[in-house]
Amino acid sequence: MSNKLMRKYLAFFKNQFSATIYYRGSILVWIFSNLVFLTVIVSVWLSASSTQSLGGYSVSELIGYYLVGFFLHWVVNWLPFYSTADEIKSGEIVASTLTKPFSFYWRKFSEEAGWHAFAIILGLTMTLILAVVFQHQQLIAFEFSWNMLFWALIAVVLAIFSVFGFSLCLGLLAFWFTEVWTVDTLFWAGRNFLGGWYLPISFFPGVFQTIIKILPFRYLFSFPLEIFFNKLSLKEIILGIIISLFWILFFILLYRVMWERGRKAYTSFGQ
Amino acid sequence: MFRYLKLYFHFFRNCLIRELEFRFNVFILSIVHIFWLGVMLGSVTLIFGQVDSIAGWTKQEVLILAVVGMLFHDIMEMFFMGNLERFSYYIRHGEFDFILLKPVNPRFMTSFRYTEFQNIFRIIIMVFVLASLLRGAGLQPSIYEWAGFFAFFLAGLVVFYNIFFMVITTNFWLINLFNFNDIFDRLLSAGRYPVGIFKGRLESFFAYVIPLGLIATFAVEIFLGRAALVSFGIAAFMVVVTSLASELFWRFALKHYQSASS
Repeated sequence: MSNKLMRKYLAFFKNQFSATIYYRGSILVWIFSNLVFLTVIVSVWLSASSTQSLGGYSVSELIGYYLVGFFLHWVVNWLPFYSTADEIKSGEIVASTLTKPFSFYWRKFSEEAGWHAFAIILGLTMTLILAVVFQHQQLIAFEFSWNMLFWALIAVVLAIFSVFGFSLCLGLLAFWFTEVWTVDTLFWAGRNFLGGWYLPISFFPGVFQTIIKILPFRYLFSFPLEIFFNKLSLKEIILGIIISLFWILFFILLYRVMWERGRKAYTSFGQ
Repeated sequence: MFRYLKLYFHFFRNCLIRELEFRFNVFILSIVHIFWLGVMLGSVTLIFGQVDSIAGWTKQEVLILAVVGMLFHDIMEMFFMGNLERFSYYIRHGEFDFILLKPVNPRFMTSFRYTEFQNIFRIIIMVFVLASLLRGAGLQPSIYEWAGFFAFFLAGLVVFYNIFFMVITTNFWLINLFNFNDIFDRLLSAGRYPVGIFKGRLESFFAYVIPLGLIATFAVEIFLGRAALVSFGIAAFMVVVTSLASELFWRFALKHYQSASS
């Protein structure tokens, strides 16, 4: 990528970063709403009565899972779906990209980076405060190892690219269907239920777990957490990384096909 | 009063006609919503694959609670949420001016103009699921128990409408907070679990500040024969307090409205 092009993407990053700081109130609302989820799910597990381990997790590990997940939610959710679908639906994409000399993919990526640069700082601050509170009340426990952190970070980076690619492709459906919000709802159902947001995937019966390990949803959220909490062997980690890379590549190729065909099929109005 | 009922009937009919224009969209959305119902019931089943009870509630009881909680959520969405969601847009784009100009109470227009029908099929299905769960648990509520159930359910709708209305009223000052709906959604989802899961300060917070018990717990406790007298007290108290507070706050906020120069 040439320096000139890099400067353009940097401008998108800066614009989005400034906009995020200006509209910081909405980020606080999102933090609060996730905090409500965390409070409820932690309370559920603390009040649960069980004679067995919970899907291979102890209660304190499970609370740690949701706490780290609370932060991970801010890190990996690069979701260009909303802005992409809106731009296509309103016809804004003609002026913003189709007549401009840069890649739509990297423009969206730069904008998401701008949003996340600020959101991650807020999310991290909030998570650290919660970690201190939980630690003080002896609610969380996990064994930390640099080795697992290293693999977990790789899985996080892969999750970012997977979520981004998946979400972008869903947004591009607007080229053909205009109104695509329903698809987004299905994405969240898949991600929350099969991706480990509601419950770790070890809660599922064996056959379902095998299917989940092939589908992309696990690699959007749960996979880094499973590594971080020492639930996977090295062999399982490497296999997971390979499947994750497959999905990233799949979404990149799908994006290219959809972008090329979508532009030709697209009719906008009022621009 | 009759004038407003007539007006509401016309709004309702207008929304229904609008939805029927996009039948395919309603059909797809209905399927998605039914899928979500499956996700929610599946989550409860998975949790009970690992635990015996939650705050003393068995699997069957939590499933009943979850369905009632989801019914509450859908009815809130059908009658109120779509309206409350639009409020931030009205303020940001100066469209609230046009509401103020109409010869109708602006709160009525803000709260009841739109009815969303996309959850209607899920609501119908959930009524059958609830009936089946009650039968499966060997519960046959008497007419008095049903009356108590609906009293709590209605009280919950009034209280949560008032609370959410107070929250969106802050848009007069905050303007750009377009995603309040996320918080509403999380709070209503929280009501699908027994309020007994909260301990200490959280228990007081979710009893008297945001009374989550009014979403489903208190109503379902009637069926289970566990309703406490204090629950009726909390419900009546919250209905009165939130109704007064939301109206007073609304009037105060209206005086501070600065148009976005439409």
